[in-house]
Amino acid sequence: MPIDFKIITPEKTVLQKQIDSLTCPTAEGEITILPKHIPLVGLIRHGELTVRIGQDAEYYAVSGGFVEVRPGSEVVILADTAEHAREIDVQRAEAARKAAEESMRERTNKLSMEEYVALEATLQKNIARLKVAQRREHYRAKHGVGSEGIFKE
Amino acid sequence: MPGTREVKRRIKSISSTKKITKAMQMVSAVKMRKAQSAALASRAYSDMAWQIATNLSHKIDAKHSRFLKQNKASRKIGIILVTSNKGLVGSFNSNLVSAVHSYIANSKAEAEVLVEIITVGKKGRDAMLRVGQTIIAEFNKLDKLARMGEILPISRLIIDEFLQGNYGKICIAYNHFISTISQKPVIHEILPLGKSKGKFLDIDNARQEKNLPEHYGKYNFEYLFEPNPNKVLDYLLPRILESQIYQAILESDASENSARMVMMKNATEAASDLIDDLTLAYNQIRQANITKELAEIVAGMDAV
Repeated sequence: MPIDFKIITPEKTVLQKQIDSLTCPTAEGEITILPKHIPLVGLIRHGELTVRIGQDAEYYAVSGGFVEVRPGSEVVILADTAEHAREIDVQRAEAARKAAEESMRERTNKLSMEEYVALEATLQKNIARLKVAQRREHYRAKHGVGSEGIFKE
Repeated sequence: MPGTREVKRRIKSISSTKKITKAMQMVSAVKMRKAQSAALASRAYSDMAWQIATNLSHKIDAKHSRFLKQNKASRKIGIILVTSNKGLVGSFNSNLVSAVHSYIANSKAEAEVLVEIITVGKKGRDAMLRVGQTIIAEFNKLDKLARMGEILPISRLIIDEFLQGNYGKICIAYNHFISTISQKPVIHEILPLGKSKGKFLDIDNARQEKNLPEHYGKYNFEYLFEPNPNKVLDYLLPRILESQIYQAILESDASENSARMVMMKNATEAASDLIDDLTLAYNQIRQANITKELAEIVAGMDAV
């Protein structure tokens, strides 16, 4: 019995699919949800969301939001943002991470609590995005570019 | 030529009006497309959020969260009224305002209540001031697409007021976008959370009953919370509330621009019709004049 799964952000429905399991980062650590999970409501923090269908795994970078597991293997994630690994712009994520890090370091004393929290969130979000983007690189090395090279030789 | 000048002047003034309405039509058509796609895109989110709120409100003891508790002691109702800043939108604002008036009348008929208004947009504020309603706060509405951050002051205000027990109920009144030619005034009760049906997609919660084992029933299950109920609810419920307010503003924006586009299109068409009629009249007068002059000349020649 597969899980009826949805990721929804304020901008769009990112994913709506039947899946076998998912692993998501919650406030207290990662949890994996399998079919027939007991109803649950949890907070999601910035991180990597893994969606498994059979042997395949897909990776998403999510930032903030919540997950609801409903009875009858229905899972809904409402995230502030969610991007598939292949949609992530590595350069921009890297630049955003650096900018956040720098302003945190340079203006440590001048920042208000709110600004600091916002910067911290940006930093965490982009670290998560970079981590997820790396997944894509690995995947490519294993299945894409690598095998193509062999084929050419 | 005698008689034609008046008509010519009218044609000229109507064509310049037509140019203006045409331009406004184009502008609102562009805004409308943007606002519509924004409203439609986030509907799924806010509706899902509202579903979660409804599920939770049935499952959780109101003592766990003050958002779910009804302030029975308070007889005040707060209404957030979302209208436009500018006119020329047909019955967009007046329909909503009269819906709010009848809502107030109904509530007053049921029980003795006090109504206080929070306005977003100038037209609603003016209408409410005219009838002497109490306005406790007014928020500016920007003419560009709203962003999530802009509604935070509104949600903070109503959350504070509600948690202090000042209000028994808080609703948001706005025009729900159905299609370019049709918008519906809606009054959506947002606090206490989860008491009224989701308005955006009209998803019925009964849908969830499908493929459930018998013994589950509609709400016959317990939720697990990660990390714990208080933390989750304190984070979750304000966010759900924000998503509702945000969606209401987006819907209102989409409706406003659609209504204005349609109004301006009608005005442009009416102007074209009027110009056609007047041009015909002008030509008739002109022709009559020419005929008259010809007749005079011929009569003059005969006399000589």
